[in-house]
Amino acid sequence: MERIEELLMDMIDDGPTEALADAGSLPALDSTLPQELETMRGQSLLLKACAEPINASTLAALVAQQATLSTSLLGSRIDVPAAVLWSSAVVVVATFIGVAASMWSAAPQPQFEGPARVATAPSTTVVSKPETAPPALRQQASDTYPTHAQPPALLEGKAEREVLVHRRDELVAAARRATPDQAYRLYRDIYRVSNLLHDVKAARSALRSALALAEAAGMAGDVEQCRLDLKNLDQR
Amino acid sequence: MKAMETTNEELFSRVCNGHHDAFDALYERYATKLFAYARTVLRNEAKAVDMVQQVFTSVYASRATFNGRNFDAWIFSIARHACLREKRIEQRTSPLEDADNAVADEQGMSEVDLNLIRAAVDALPDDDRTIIRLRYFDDLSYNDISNLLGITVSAAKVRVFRARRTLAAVLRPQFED
Repeated sequence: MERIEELLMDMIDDGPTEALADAGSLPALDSTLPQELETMRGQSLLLKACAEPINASTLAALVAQQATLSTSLLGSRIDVPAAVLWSSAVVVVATFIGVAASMWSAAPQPQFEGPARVATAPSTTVVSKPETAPPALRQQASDTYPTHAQPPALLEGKAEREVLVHRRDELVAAARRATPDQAYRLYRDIYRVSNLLHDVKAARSALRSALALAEAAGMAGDVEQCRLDLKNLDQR
Repeated sequence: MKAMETTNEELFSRVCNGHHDAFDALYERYATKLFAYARTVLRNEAKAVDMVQQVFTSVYASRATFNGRNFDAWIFSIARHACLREKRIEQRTSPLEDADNAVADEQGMSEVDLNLIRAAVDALPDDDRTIIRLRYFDDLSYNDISNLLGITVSAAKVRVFRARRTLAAVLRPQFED
Protein backbone atom coordinates (compact mmCIF):
# COMPACT_ATOMS: atom_id res chain seq x y z
CA MET A 1 0.00 0.00 0.00
CA GLU A 2 2.81 2.40 0.86
CA ARG A 3 4.37 1.81 -2.53
CA ILE A 4 1.09 2.82 -4.14
CA GLU A 5 0.83 5.91 -1.97
CA GLU A 6 4.35 6.88 -2.97
CA LEU A 7 3.47 6.41 -6.61
CA LEU A 8 0.33 8.47 -6.23
CA MET A 9 2.30 11.25 -4.62
CA ASP A 10 4.66 11.25 -7.60
CA MET A 11 1.65 11.49 -9.87
CA ILE A 12 0.20 14.40 -7.94
CA ASP A 13 3.54 16.17 -8.01
CA ASP A 14 4.56 15.62 -11.58
CA GLY A 15 2.46 13.05 -13.35
CA PRO A 16 0.13 13.63 -16.28
CA THR A 17 -3.58 13.80 -15.66
CA GLU A 18 -4.16 10.55 -17.59
CA ALA A 19 -1.90 8.76 -15.14
CA LEU A 20 -4.01 10.08 -12.34
CA ALA A 21 -7.14 8.80 -14.02
CA ASP A 22 -5.52 5.40 -14.47
CA ALA A 23 -4.84 5.31 -10.77
CA GLY A 24 -8.54 4.53 -10.34
CA SER A 25 -7.93 1.12 -11.83
CA LEU A 26 -5.45 0.16 -9.11
CA PRO A 27 -7.10 -2.65 -7.17
CA ALA A 28 -6.06 -1.49 -3.72
CA LEU A 29 -7.72 1.87 -4.03
CA ASP A 30 -11.23 2.88 -3.18
CA SER A 31 -13.55 4.21 -5.85
CA THR A 32 -13.53 7.81 -4.61
CA LEU A 33 -9.77 8.11 -4.88
CA PRO A 34 -9.50 9.32 -8.50
CA GLN A 35 -11.72 12.27 -7.73
CA GLU A 36 -9.82 12.89 -4.52
CA LEU A 37 -6.56 12.84 -6.44
CA GLU A 38 -7.88 15.42 -8.89
CA THR A 39 -8.84 17.63 -5.96
CA MET A 40 -5.43 17.20 -4.38
CA ARG A 41 -3.74 17.98 -7.63
CA GLY A 42 -5.82 21.14 -7.93
CA GLN A 43 -4.85 22.12 -4.42
CA SER A 44 -1.16 21.69 -5.24
CA LEU A 45 -1.19 25.02 -7.05
CA LEU A 46 -2.71 26.72 -4.04
CA LEU A 47 -0.22 25.10 -1.71
CA LYS A 48 2.67 26.18 -3.89
CA ALA A 49 1.27 29.70 -3.94
CA CYS A 50 1.52 29.67 -0.16
CA ALA A 51 5.29 29.30 -0.45
CA GLU A 52 7.19 31.44 1.99
CA PRO A 53 10.42 32.42 0.30
CA ILE A 54 13.10 33.71 2.62
CA ASN A 55 12.72 37.46 2.59
CA ALA A 56 15.64 39.73 1.85
CA SER A 57 16.14 40.96 5.41
CA THR A 58 16.27 37.40 6.75
CA LEU A 59 18.68 36.51 3.98
CA ALA A 60 20.83 39.47 4.99
CA ALA A 61 20.73 38.31 8.61
CA LEU A 62 21.80 34.81 7.57
CA VAL A 63 24.60 36.19 5.44
CA ALA A 64 25.79 38.46 8.24
CA GLN A 65 25.69 35.52 10.60
CA GLN A 66 27.93 33.59 8.24
CA ALA A 67 30.87 35.96 8.71
CA THR A 68 30.41 36.11 12.46
CA LEU A 69 30.13 32.35 12.79
CA SER A 70 33.10 31.70 10.58
CA THR A 71 35.27 33.98 12.70
CA SER A 72 33.95 32.81 16.04
CA LEU A 73 34.27 29.11 15.20
CA LEU A 74 37.43 29.07 13.14
CA GLY A 75 39.20 32.12 14.51
CA SER A 76 40.49 35.16 12.70
CA ARG A 77 40.39 35.13 8.96
CA ILE A 78 43.94 36.48 8.83
CA ASP A 79 45.76 33.40 7.72
CA VAL A 80 49.28 32.39 8.60
CA PRO A 81 51.02 33.55 5.41
CA ALA A 82 49.41 36.97 5.80
CA ALA A 83 50.51 37.13 9.42
CA VAL A 84 54.05 36.16 8.46
CA LEU A 85 54.10 38.79 5.73
CA TRP A 86 52.82 41.36 8.17
CA SER A 87 55.48 40.50 10.75
CA SER A 88 58.14 40.77 8.07
CA ALA A 89 56.84 44.16 7.06
CA VAL A 90 57.01 45.30 10.68
CA VAL A 91 60.63 44.18 10.92
CA VAL A 92 61.55 46.01 7.70
CA VAL A 93 59.85 49.21 8.83
CA ALA A 94 61.46 48.94 12.25
CA THR A 95 64.87 48.56 10.61
CA PHE A 96 64.41 51.74 8.64
CA ILE A 97 63.29 53.58 11.74
CA GLY A 98 66.29 52.30 13.62
CA VAL A 99 68.62 53.56 10.90
CA ALA A 100 66.92 56.95 10.79
CA ALA A 101 66.98 57.30 14.55
CA SER A 102 70.67 56.45 14.70
CA MET A 103 71.45 59.04 12.06
CA TRP A 104 69.50 61.73 13.91
CA SER A 105 71.04 61.05 17.22
CA ALA A 106 74.40 62.75 17.97
CA ALA A 107 74.99 60.60 21.01
CA PRO A 108 77.98 58.24 20.82
CA GLN A 109 76.11 55.09 20.02
CA PRO A 110 76.23 52.63 17.18
CA GLN A 111 74.94 54.03 13.88
CA PHE A 112 72.89 50.97 13.18
CA GLU A 113 70.93 48.74 15.43
CA GLY A 114 70.10 45.38 13.95
CA PRO A 115 66.56 44.61 13.01
CA ALA A 116 66.11 41.92 15.63
CA ARG A 117 66.97 44.29 18.46
CA VAL A 118 64.80 47.07 17.10
CA ALA A 119 61.87 44.83 16.42
CA THR A 120 61.89 43.13 19.78
CA ALA A 121 62.72 46.09 22.02
CA PRO A 122 59.92 47.53 24.15
CA SER A 123 58.05 50.09 22.13
CA THR A 124 58.92 53.07 24.33
CA THR A 125 62.64 52.39 24.11
CA VAL A 126 63.07 51.61 20.46
CA VAL A 127 63.77 55.22 19.64
CA SER A 128 63.28 58.44 21.51
CA LYS A 129 62.66 61.87 20.12
CA PRO A 130 66.04 63.19 18.92
CA GLU A 131 67.23 65.55 21.63
CA THR A 132 70.58 66.59 20.20
CA ALA A 133 69.86 66.83 16.55
CA PRO A 134 70.25 70.23 14.88
CA PRO A 135 67.16 72.42 15.35
CA ALA A 136 66.10 72.20 11.73
CA LEU A 137 66.29 68.43 11.73
CA ARG A 138 64.57 68.29 15.10
CA GLN A 139 61.81 70.48 13.73
CA GLN A 140 61.48 68.19 10.72
CA ALA A 141 61.29 65.17 12.96
CA SER A 142 58.83 66.93 15.16
CA ASP A 143 56.64 67.85 12.20
CA THR A 144 56.72 64.37 10.85
CA TYR A 145 56.35 62.51 14.11
CA PRO A 146 54.98 65.04 16.53
CA THR A 147 53.93 62.98 19.51
CA HIS A 148 55.17 59.45 19.07
CA ALA A 149 57.40 57.88 21.65
CA GLN A 150 57.33 54.79 19.42
CA PRO A 151 58.77 54.54 15.91
CA PRO A 152 56.20 56.55 14.00
CA ALA A 153 55.87 54.43 10.90
CA LEU A 154 55.57 51.34 13.03
CA LEU A 155 52.98 52.95 15.23
CA GLU A 156 51.11 54.37 12.29
CA GLY A 157 51.12 50.99 10.58
CA LYS A 158 49.82 49.24 13.65
CA ALA A 159 47.34 51.97 14.40
CA GLU A 160 46.09 52.02 10.84
CA ARG A 161 45.63 48.28 10.87
CA GLU A 162 43.83 48.41 14.20
CA VAL A 163 41.57 51.13 12.91
CA LEU A 164 40.80 49.12 9.80
CA VAL A 165 40.12 45.93 11.75
CA HIS A 166 37.90 47.87 14.14
CA ARG A 167 36.12 49.52 11.24
CA ARG A 168 35.55 46.15 9.63
CA ASP A 169 34.09 44.74 12.85
CA GLU A 170 31.74 47.71 12.99
CA LEU A 171 30.68 47.14 9.40
CA VAL A 172 30.00 43.45 10.01
CA ALA A 173 27.89 44.31 13.04
CA ALA A 174 26.04 46.97 11.07
CA ALA A 175 25.42 44.57 8.20
CA ARG A 176 23.66 42.21 10.58
CA ARG A 177 21.08 44.84 11.39
CA ALA A 178 20.86 46.50 8.01
CA THR A 179 18.19 46.42 5.38
CA PRO A 180 19.17 44.41 2.30
CA ASP A 181 20.32 47.33 0.17
CA GLN A 182 22.21 48.83 3.10
CA ALA A 183 23.70 45.41 3.81
CA TYR A 184 24.86 45.19 0.19
CA ARG A 185 26.76 48.47 0.51
CA LEU A 186 28.14 47.46 3.88
CA TYR A 187 29.48 44.20 2.47
CA ARG A 188 31.06 46.12 -0.38
CA ASP A 189 32.73 48.30 2.25
CA ILE A 190 33.85 45.21 4.18
CA TYR A 191 35.34 43.92 0.95
CA ARG A 192 37.27 47.18 0.44
CA VAL A 193 38.51 47.30 4.03
CA SER A 194 39.56 43.65 3.81
CA ASN A 195 41.43 44.49 0.64
CA LEU A 196 43.31 47.22 2.49
CA LEU A 197 44.16 44.67 5.15
CA HIS A 198 45.34 42.28 2.42
CA ASP A 199 42.84 39.78 3.83
CA VAL A 200 41.82 38.04 0.64
CA LYS A 201 39.66 35.43 2.33
CA ALA A 202 37.59 38.01 4.18
CA ALA A 203 37.36 40.11 1.03
CA ARG A 204 36.10 37.09 -0.89
CA SER A 205 33.58 36.26 1.81
CA ALA A 206 32.27 39.83 1.88
CA LEU A 207 31.98 39.83 -1.89
CA ARG A 208 30.04 36.57 -1.84
CA SER A 209 27.66 38.06 0.70
CA ALA A 210 27.23 41.19 -1.41
CA LEU A 211 26.70 39.02 -4.48
CA ALA A 212 23.98 36.98 -2.72
CA LEU A 213 22.18 40.15 -1.70
CA ALA A 214 22.50 41.67 -5.16
CA GLU A 215 21.16 38.47 -6.74
CA ALA A 216 18.27 38.34 -4.26
CA ALA A 217 17.39 41.94 -5.09
CA GLY A 218 17.82 41.40 -8.83
CA MET A 219 20.42 44.16 -9.11
CA ALA A 220 22.02 43.01 -12.35
CA GLY A 221 24.74 45.67 -12.47
CA ASP A 222 25.83 44.98 -8.91
CA VAL A 223 25.77 41.24 -9.51
CA GLU A 224 28.05 41.75 -12.50
CA GLN A 225 30.40 43.97 -10.48
CA CYS A 226 30.61 41.46 -7.62
CA ARG A 227 31.33 38.61 -10.01
CA LEU A 228 34.04 40.65 -11.70
CA ASP A 229 35.63 41.54 -8.35
CA LEU A 230 35.45 37.90 -7.24
CA LYS A 231 37.15 36.84 -10.44
CA ASN A 232 39.89 39.41 -9.86
CA LEU A 233 40.33 38.20 -6.30
CA ASP A 234 40.64 34.61 -7.46
CA GLN A 235 43.40 35.60 -9.86
CA ARG A 236 45.55 37.04 -7.05
CA MET B 1 33.42 18.57 -18.84
CA LYS B 2 31.89 19.85 -15.65
CA ALA B 3 34.20 19.87 -12.67
CA MET B 4 33.18 17.63 -9.81
CA GLU B 5 31.68 19.55 -6.95
CA THR B 6 33.40 19.20 -3.61
CA THR B 7 31.37 16.91 -1.40
CA ASN B 8 29.89 18.10 1.86
CA GLU B 9 32.06 15.64 3.73
CA GLU B 10 35.22 17.02 2.09
CA LEU B 11 34.15 20.56 2.85
CA PHE B 12 33.49 19.72 6.48
CA SER B 13 36.88 18.06 6.77
CA ARG B 14 38.45 21.29 5.53
CA VAL B 15 36.33 23.31 7.97
CA CYS B 16 37.74 21.19 10.78
CA ASN B 17 41.20 22.20 9.58
CA GLY B 18 40.28 25.87 9.90
CA HIS B 19 39.49 26.71 6.27
CA HIS B 20 37.14 29.66 6.16
CA ASP B 21 36.32 29.24 2.48
CA ALA B 22 35.09 25.70 3.14
CA PHE B 23 32.96 26.98 5.99
CA ASP B 24 31.48 29.63 3.69
CA ALA B 25 30.68 27.04 1.05
CA LEU B 26 29.08 24.69 3.56
CA TYR B 27 27.10 27.51 5.13
CA GLU B 28 25.82 28.58 1.73
CA ARG B 29 24.68 25.03 0.99
CA TYR B 30 22.79 24.53 4.23
CA ALA B 31 21.78 27.83 5.80
CA THR B 32 18.56 28.38 3.88
CA LYS B 33 17.40 24.77 4.22
CA LEU B 34 18.10 24.77 7.93
CA PHE B 35 16.36 28.11 8.24
CA ALA B 36 13.30 26.82 6.38
CA TYR B 37 13.07 23.78 8.61
CA ALA B 38 13.56 25.79 11.80
CA ARG B 39 10.96 28.32 10.67
CA THR B 40 8.48 25.53 10.06
CA VAL B 41 9.07 23.86 13.40
CA LEU B 42 9.48 26.97 15.54
CA ARG B 43 7.13 29.21 13.53
CA ASN B 44 9.25 32.23 14.21
CA GLU B 45 11.74 33.74 11.74
CA ALA B 46 14.06 35.38 14.27
CA LYS B 47 14.33 32.17 16.25
CA ALA B 48 14.92 30.27 13.04
CA VAL B 49 17.87 32.53 12.16
CA ASP B 50 19.30 31.95 15.65
CA MET B 51 18.72 28.23 15.22
CA VAL B 52 20.88 28.19 12.08
CA GLN B 53 23.69 29.69 14.14
CA GLN B 54 23.10 27.18 16.91
CA VAL B 55 23.18 24.27 14.48
CA PHE B 56 26.45 25.36 12.89
CA THR B 57 27.96 25.92 16.31
CA SER B 58 26.82 22.46 17.44
CA VAL B 59 28.10 20.88 14.26
CA TYR B 60 31.52 22.41 14.79
CA ALA B 61 31.56 21.64 18.50
CA SER B 62 30.71 17.99 17.92
CA ARG B 63 32.93 17.55 14.85
CA ALA B 64 34.84 14.78 16.59
CA THR B 65 31.69 12.64 16.56
CA PHE B 66 31.17 12.86 12.79
CA ASN B 67 31.94 9.53 11.19
CA GLY B 68 32.86 11.01 7.81
CA ARG B 69 29.80 9.65 6.01
CA ASN B 70 26.58 11.40 4.99
CA PHE B 71 27.09 14.90 6.30
CA ASP B 72 23.56 15.71 5.09
CA ALA B 73 21.93 13.28 7.48
CA TRP B 74 24.22 14.30 10.31
CA ILE B 75 23.67 18.06 10.14
CA PHE B 76 19.94 17.66 9.61
CA SER B 77 19.67 15.32 12.57
CA ILE B 78 21.47 17.92 14.71
CA ALA B 79 19.03 20.53 13.40
CA ARG B 80 16.05 18.29 14.11
CA HIS B 81 17.08 17.64 17.69
CA ALA B 82 17.93 21.30 18.31
CA CYS B 83 14.60 22.51 16.92
CA LEU B 84 12.55 19.95 18.80
CA ARG B 85 14.39 20.75 22.01
CA GLU B 86 13.74 24.45 21.48
CA LYS B 87 10.11 23.76 20.70
CA ARG B 88 9.66 21.74 23.88
CA ILE B 89 11.17 24.57 25.93
CA GLU B 90 8.92 27.04 24.14
CA GLN B 91 5.81 25.00 24.80
CA ARG B 92 6.65 24.82 28.48
CA THR B 93 7.26 28.55 28.79
CA SER B 94 4.72 30.10 26.40
CA PRO B 95 2.14 27.58 25.25
CA LEU B 96 -0.15 30.21 23.78
CA GLU B 97 2.43 31.90 21.61
CA ASP B 98 1.47 31.68 17.99
CA ALA B 99 3.82 33.33 15.58
CA ASP B 100 2.49 33.88 12.13
CA ASN B 101 5.07 34.84 9.57
CA ALA B 102 3.24 33.87 6.46
CA VAL B 103 4.52 35.66 3.43
CA ALA B 104 2.90 34.26 0.36
CA ASP B 105 3.15 34.90 -3.27
CA GLU B 106 -0.42 35.35 -4.34
CA GLN B 107 0.09 35.49 -8.10
CA GLY B 108 -3.26 34.87 -9.64
CA MET B 109 -4.70 33.30 -6.54
CA SER B 110 -7.45 34.57 -4.37
CA GLU B 111 -6.14 35.75 -1.03
CA VAL B 112 -9.19 34.16 0.54
CA ASP B 113 -8.25 30.76 -0.91
CA LEU B 114 -4.66 31.09 0.25
CA ASN B 115 -5.72 32.06 3.73
CA LEU B 116 -8.05 29.07 3.80
CA ILE B 117 -5.19 26.80 2.84
CA ARG B 118 -2.83 28.33 5.41
CA ALA B 119 -5.41 28.06 8.15
CA ALA B 120 -6.17 24.47 7.21
CA VAL B 121 -2.47 23.56 7.18
CA ASP B 122 -1.95 25.25 10.54
CA ALA B 123 -4.84 23.24 11.96
CA LEU B 124 -3.34 19.90 10.88
CA PRO B 125 -1.67 17.63 13.43
CA ASP B 126 1.97 18.58 14.04
CA ASP B 127 3.53 15.88 11.86
CA ASP B 128 1.23 16.56 8.92
CA ARG B 129 1.65 20.30 9.20
CA THR B 130 5.43 20.04 9.32
CA ILE B 131 5.74 17.87 6.26
CA ILE B 132 3.29 19.94 4.22
CA ARG B 133 5.07 23.14 5.14
CA LEU B 134 8.49 21.70 4.34
CA ARG B 135 7.32 20.42 0.99
CA TYR B 136 5.22 23.33 -0.23
CA PHE B 137 5.77 26.41 1.92
CA ASP B 138 9.54 25.91 2.18
CA ASP B 139 9.86 24.20 -1.22
CA LEU B 140 12.26 21.52 0.02
CA SER B 141 13.00 18.37 -1.96
CA TYR B 142 11.92 14.95 -0.71
CA ASN B 143 15.58 14.18 -0.22
CA ASP B 144 16.08 17.16 2.10
CA ILE B 145 12.85 16.38 3.92
CA SER B 146 13.90 12.79 4.43
CA ASN B 147 17.22 13.91 5.92
CA LEU B 148 15.58 16.55 8.09
CA LEU B 149 13.02 14.13 9.46
CA GLY B 150 15.31 11.14 9.60
CA ILE B 151 13.17 9.01 7.30
CA THR B 152 13.56 7.52 3.83
CA VAL B 153 12.59 9.41 0.69
CA SER B 154 9.77 6.91 0.11
CA ALA B 155 8.47 7.43 3.63
CA ALA B 156 8.61 11.19 3.08
CA LYS B 157 6.45 10.85 -0.04
CA VAL B 158 3.98 8.60 1.75
CA ARG B 159 3.73 11.01 4.63
CA VAL B 160 3.19 13.96 2.30
CA PHE B 161 0.52 11.97 0.48
CA ARG B 162 -1.32 11.11 3.69
CA ALA B 163 -1.07 14.66 4.96
CA ARG B 164 -2.41 15.89 1.63
CA ARG B 165 -5.37 13.51 1.91
CA THR B 166 -6.13 14.80 5.39
CA LEU B 167 -5.81 18.35 4.15
CA ALA B 168 -8.07 17.65 1.18
CA ALA B 169 -10.69 16.24 3.53
CA VAL B 170 -10.47 19.32 5.73
CA LEU B 171 -10.75 21.64 2.73
CA ARG B 172 -13.47 19.73 0.90
CA PRO B 173 -16.42 21.70 2.37
CA GLN B 174 -14.78 25.01 1.43
CA PHE B 175 -13.94 23.99 -2.13
CA GLU B 176 -16.98 21.90 -3.00
CA ASP B 177 -18.63 24.75 -4.92
